[in-house]
Amino acid sequence: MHVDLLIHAANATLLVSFLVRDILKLRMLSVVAGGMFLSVCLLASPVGWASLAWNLVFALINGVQITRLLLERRPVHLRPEEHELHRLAFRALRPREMLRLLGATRFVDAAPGEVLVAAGRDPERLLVVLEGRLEVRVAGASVAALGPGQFVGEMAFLTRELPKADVVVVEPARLASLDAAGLRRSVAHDAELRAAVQGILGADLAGKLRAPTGRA
Amino acid sequence: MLARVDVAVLGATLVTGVDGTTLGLARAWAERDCLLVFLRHFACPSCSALAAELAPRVPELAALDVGVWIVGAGSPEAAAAFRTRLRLDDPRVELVVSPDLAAYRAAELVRSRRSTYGPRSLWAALRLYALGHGAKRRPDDGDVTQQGGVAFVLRGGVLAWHHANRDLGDHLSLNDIVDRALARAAARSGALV
Repeated sequence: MHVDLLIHAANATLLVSFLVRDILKLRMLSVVAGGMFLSVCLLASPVGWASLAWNLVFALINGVQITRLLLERRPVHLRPEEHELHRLAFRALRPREMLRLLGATRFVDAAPGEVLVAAGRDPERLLVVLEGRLEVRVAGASVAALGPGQFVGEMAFLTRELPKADVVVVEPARLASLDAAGLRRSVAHDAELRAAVQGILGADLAGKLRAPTGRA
Repeated sequence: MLARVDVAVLGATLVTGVDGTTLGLARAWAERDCLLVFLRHFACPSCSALAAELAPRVPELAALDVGVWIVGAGSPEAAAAFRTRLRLDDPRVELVVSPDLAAYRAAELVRSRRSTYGPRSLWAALRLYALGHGAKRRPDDGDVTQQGGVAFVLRGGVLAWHHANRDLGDHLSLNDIVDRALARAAARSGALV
């Protein structure tokens, strides 16, 4: 009798899980139903080992997915310099998307005179100026200045061509350095994030092309 | 594939605007680089999906001085209906038609029953209809056996790249198209780093 009630309760819970639209709630209800089915298997005589094993597999998969969903839904807390990077360059991204980019990002300081990008050499990274001032130089002559919020190396990132100019630090700088390969990987399987990053880089590129100071 | 398309022939092809005016396709790349998008017919679910994705990204391309021309195979009236349905009202998008398919032939695009009714096409059509793309077909929407494609022509008439869809399921994603457009725009612009 108790077993019958348990079977009905498990199926009713499973039915309710099919009615909810939220995938997290669906999985949680499914786990509850699975727990009842497990009890049914254990109370059966003889014990239903095959059903028990399958229900354990389902519970395991649901457990992993529930953990992922909960992690994804937690509020995002960016550190101050991550927040600054978001504000200056990636405002179009949601904080959760920003986290994905931060996996490929390091924050670095650079002293005056330091060459951040050398003409003819693959920079293998995309830089964002957080503080300080840089100069774009062709054969030693300054052709453009770069400051906070501007990208360095997006032409090389977009075209995979080698830089045609050097980028040199002229005032102490703090930069976000995004590994080019890591960034490509981060956006490869997320069409929305990829579109957002394309929009951001395109806007920066267009802004530089319109600037009277030169083509950085 | 790239070598087969003769841009001079493509540019000399006459197309018709939504308002009924006839113009040479070369106008598309006379003043700026141009992304040429060839639709199948105006009720095509794949083309509807691409156009819907493309519309919000036109300003992005315009900022890089890339023009967007969409070529359809139906009548100007069908093109106007398509424009309204997809809200392609950005004046920077040129919508033209080539009902005799001359522009499609010049762009070396595929036209066959097999490409239209093959299993890949049917599967893609089912998926896209389920997602709400496509519309009821009108007689003047264009040839159903004609496949679409994309070409990027640099200002002055140099073909940078070209993709001829083999079937309904074989098209570049909009992100791939924008990636290539951005790369060409960056290379052409003289950006240094």
